[in-house]
Amino acid sequence: MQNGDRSPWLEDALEQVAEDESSLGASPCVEERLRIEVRAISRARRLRTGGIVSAIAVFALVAGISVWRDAARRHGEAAVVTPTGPSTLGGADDGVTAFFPLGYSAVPMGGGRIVRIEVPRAALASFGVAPVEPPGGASAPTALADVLIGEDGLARAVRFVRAARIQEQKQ
Amino acid sequence: MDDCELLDRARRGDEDAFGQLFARHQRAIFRYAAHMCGRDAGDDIVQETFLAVLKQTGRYDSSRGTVSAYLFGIARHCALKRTAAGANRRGDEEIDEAVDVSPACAPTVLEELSRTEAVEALRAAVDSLPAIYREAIVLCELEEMDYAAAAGIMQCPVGTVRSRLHRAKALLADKLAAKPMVSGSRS
Repeated sequence: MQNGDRSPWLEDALEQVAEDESSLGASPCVEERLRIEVRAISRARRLRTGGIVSAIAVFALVAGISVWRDAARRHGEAAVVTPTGPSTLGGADDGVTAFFPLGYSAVPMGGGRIVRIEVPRAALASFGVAPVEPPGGASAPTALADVLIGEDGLARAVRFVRAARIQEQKQ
Repeated sequence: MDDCELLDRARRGDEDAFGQLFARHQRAIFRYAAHMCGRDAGDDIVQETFLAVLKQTGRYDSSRGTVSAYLFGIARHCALKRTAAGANRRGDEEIDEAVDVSPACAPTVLEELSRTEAVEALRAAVDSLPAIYREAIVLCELEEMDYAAAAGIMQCPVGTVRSRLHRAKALLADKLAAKPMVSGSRS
């Protein structure tokens, strides 16, 4: 005879015990103590996250400053200029024209860079500079120009490189 | 939100998630602990179990079972520590082999008891069972777990759960069969 066959009363009694005990549970202070633990975990996580973000921000700042300084050092003394006025930079004797002010020349700046670019030769005429033909006679469709760009990214002035200087650079 | 997500969030400090997880499982853990170690230990074992969960001393692997089984596993570990499991289990093993499943004539006895008396008598009988049988009764009968889930918690094969449950019921029947003599002696 199987145990289950001969004790349906036991099954019923066990069900009654289970039903009777269904409302049993831990006292409220247990949950409260555990909630305090959860809050502590939450606080610790917030602090940890805040620390990581701060560390990343500091790292990014330091890296940015380093990159800026390296770039400035690579461009040499000429890379960082003081805003004393574009016309004082460069000159005919340097193989370049004087600086011509551009649209943002009136905007104050603390420093900037000179970037050499190629421009269409027609741009020279618009600044009143006569295009100089290279010694070989073959005129290029573009001319070199130095653009003074402030630290805010705005172009302040431009000057053009004379043909003789271009030849020197090619050599 | 399922238990896995609640568990994950609770561990990350989400108090609402913890509240829900606790509300879902604390009663069952408490009842199990109360039967295995006494009602006084119920609060402590519930607290130890959930603290262990929060502090991640035991990693939860969803492929190995439900969150409920995971919690019962921790609670069982806490209960075993409390009851000096080594010595008790050796005693239980001996009983395991020695139990004689003899037919019982208890139905007529129990029918004479009122519902309250029956429940109290059975509860006392359950609590007096050796731990391995008590555990089988608590998990499979009182908590209504299936054999596989109980086997996972008890860390034994399903067949062992069946046999322990079978013998536990036989022991309960024997204990309850002896009850009227006590009642009779009182009256």
